Amino acid sequence: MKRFNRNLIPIWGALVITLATITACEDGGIVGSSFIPANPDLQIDTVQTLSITTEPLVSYAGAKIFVAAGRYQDPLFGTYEAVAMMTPGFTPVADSIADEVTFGFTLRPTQTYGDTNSTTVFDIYEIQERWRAQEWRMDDTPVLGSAPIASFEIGDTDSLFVPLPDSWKQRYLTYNQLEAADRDSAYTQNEFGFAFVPVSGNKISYINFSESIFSGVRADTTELLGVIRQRASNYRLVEESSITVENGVKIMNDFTKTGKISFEINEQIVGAKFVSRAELVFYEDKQLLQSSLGIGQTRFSNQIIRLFDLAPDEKQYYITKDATISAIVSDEGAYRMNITALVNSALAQGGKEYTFYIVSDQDNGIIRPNYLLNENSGLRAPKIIVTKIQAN
Amino acid sequence: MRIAIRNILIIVFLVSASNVYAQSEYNDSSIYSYLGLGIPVDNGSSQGAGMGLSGVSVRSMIHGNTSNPAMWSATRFTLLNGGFTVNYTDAQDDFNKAKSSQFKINTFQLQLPLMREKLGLSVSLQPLTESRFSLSTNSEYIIPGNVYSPADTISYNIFTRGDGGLNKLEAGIGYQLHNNISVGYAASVIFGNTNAYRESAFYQSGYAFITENERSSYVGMGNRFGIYADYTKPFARNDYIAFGATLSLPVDLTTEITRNANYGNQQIPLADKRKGTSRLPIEYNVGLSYYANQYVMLSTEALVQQWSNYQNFSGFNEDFMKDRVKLGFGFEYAAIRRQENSIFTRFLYRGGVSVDSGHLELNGTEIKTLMFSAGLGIPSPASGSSIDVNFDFGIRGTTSHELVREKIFAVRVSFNLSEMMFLQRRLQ
Repeated sequence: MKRFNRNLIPIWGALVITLATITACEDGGIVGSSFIPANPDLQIDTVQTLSITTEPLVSYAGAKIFVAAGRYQDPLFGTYEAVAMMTPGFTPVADSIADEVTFGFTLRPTQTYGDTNSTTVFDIYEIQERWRAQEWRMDDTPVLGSAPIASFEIGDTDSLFVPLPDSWKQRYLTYNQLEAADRDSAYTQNEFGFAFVPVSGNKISYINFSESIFSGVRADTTELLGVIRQRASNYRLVEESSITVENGVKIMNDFTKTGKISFEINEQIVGAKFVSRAELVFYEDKQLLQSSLGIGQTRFSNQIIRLFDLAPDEKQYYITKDATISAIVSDEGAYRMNITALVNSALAQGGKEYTFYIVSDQDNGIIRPNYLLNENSGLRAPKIIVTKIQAN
Repeated sequence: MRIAIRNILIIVFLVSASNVYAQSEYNDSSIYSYLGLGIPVDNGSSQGAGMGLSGVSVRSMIHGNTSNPAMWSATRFTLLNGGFTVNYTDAQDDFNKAKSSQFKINTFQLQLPLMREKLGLSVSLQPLTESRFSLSTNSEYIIPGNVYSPADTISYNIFTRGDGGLNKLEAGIGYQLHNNISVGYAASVIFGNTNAYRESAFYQSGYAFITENERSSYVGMGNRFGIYADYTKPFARNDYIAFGATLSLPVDLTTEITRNANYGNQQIPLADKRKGTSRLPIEYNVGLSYYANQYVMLSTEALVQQWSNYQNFSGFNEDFMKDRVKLGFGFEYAAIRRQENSIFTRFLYRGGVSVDSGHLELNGTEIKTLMFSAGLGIPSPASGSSIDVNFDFGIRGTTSHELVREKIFAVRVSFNLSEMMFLQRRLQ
């Protein structure tokens, strides 16, 4: 058997080094752009101007993060009145300290709709009928006692203690005397909570439920912690605004006035078989929203808009699913929603029709009406804008 | 034979290891391959490649040769040859520079003696054209502002790239009509795809990354004829002269073109599939070789491809195509036949130069290529097998007239395995 030809080793070595050297070189640059045909231009077109209509959907006002309480005369949207409803849970109290305890609600009104300088006065009524927060609809009305049992104020504060009267405390303590197994059911059967009815003032406070408690306070400052078993708001528009807005549509965040928009996507409308970006754009009249507020007045908002894609049967029930699309308002008052995937999907399928339901903010217990400009608003009409790069 | 195979394995292993760098890139060959069916690829023998030629008139018992079917008549051994090329291209235009490297597999050929040195058969697979390019362009679009929204600028990049090419699967025979004259014929299936991609990407978020893809597939039948003749002692007692020529007939390629866009997992058809016929032009190749003695051989060739008659998918000629003429001259010095025993006498040395008018005329300028070649033949001391290592350096195009000049450096490694297959050995 012949041996490997060692004389060839330098040849192989030189060859491998050469190959390694030249294959390691890679510097992608740009040459030849002058004789290769130019790329197609980028185009940005408004392909559709849309019209927003409104439709009332099923709405609930219980068990939200915020509980609205107060009354505010909004120059633009009218006067809203909100009655807060809260039911404390039952917490056993030792007989030895029962006399020293004052029961009440520690409330955290963290956000305001209305005049921040105003002080709202509330009467506290006992609710006379059983109610369930999870089933509390916007158009339900609580049955209240004939006379208030106490009152309190919400001024320029984000925390306050609302004491309940001693007469209620004595009734509350009677449940303490029952067998432990019967206390909760007896309490739930007979005690339906309280309603905070606004009497005066010009603001609605949003009480943050997660930071509010029902508690018993003692003189030595120790506190008996209890729970707020359920909460809801009963709010309604009690007087329409005298301001009329042309080319706008009023929508609400709680589905009571839900915007509706329908459009079709196909190649003829879009002018391309695919797009690099597609935007659904709505405008609110930011200048009008701001100028209509008096000094010190505010409309708390999460600054978002939400769009839902709902099947017909989903409209019959309170909507708990996540929004299909959402957007944050820009400084110019524009809500720009990226619908690129939706448009390209429709184009790939040969065309498709879409309907979306629009609400003005998060449905978390706040009251947040909004005006969206509609189809006759020129540059600020609702529209679909596409960005495309495509050769013929 | 074993030693040759061992050498081959060593080379393949080492080159594979060194070539990792090139795999992740697009490995452009030439920006000019954007046009038509790509850049024509010249095939032939590894012996001819070392001289910058196809080898249409260079006959060898130990080298496979696809350049001339008539050569196959002289097949004595079963020959198997193949190899690879590593290219490095340094491209430049008036504004920019780009570098790229590329690894590619060359021709594979099996050459069999049906009647020893009388009738031979060849089957081969070889690239015919090659398209591999990329181009990146940055652009900006200014959205004018209005009273409700400020002006904005959108920055985006369009990356154009392409790959693919035509291949030829060819089978043919060569027959010796007379002691000094052979003829050959080869039929081939020509097939392949070219793909052109355009990717649009934006520098802001919220924009879709979309790739447009145009894929063209080709298939057709080719026919090629060859003749070879030699004449001994034309000028001296131990010299001879050889002539070779081939004719490749035009090929009608059934062509299908599809265009799609890809967005995420979705494929969006951009056009219905279109069918048409492209036509590859006729090709002539003529060569003359002179063997001055047992050591020195000189050879010259002329290759003509009538690309002006090329028809595209729609049946039209392309304005930018013209007839291609490639002229080459080379030599071989067979030091291995010398009696002295030294490292110098273990090899065959080859060199040559070629001038190629190219098949493109852009902006009124021919895209010419000047190529210098050098080769080293490394025969196996134990058998007729050999390895050829060839080096090319050339310049294609020009930076004038808004064109691109490409400096090309290539290393081509070819393996030529020969064996007495199918023949009964009478002596051990």
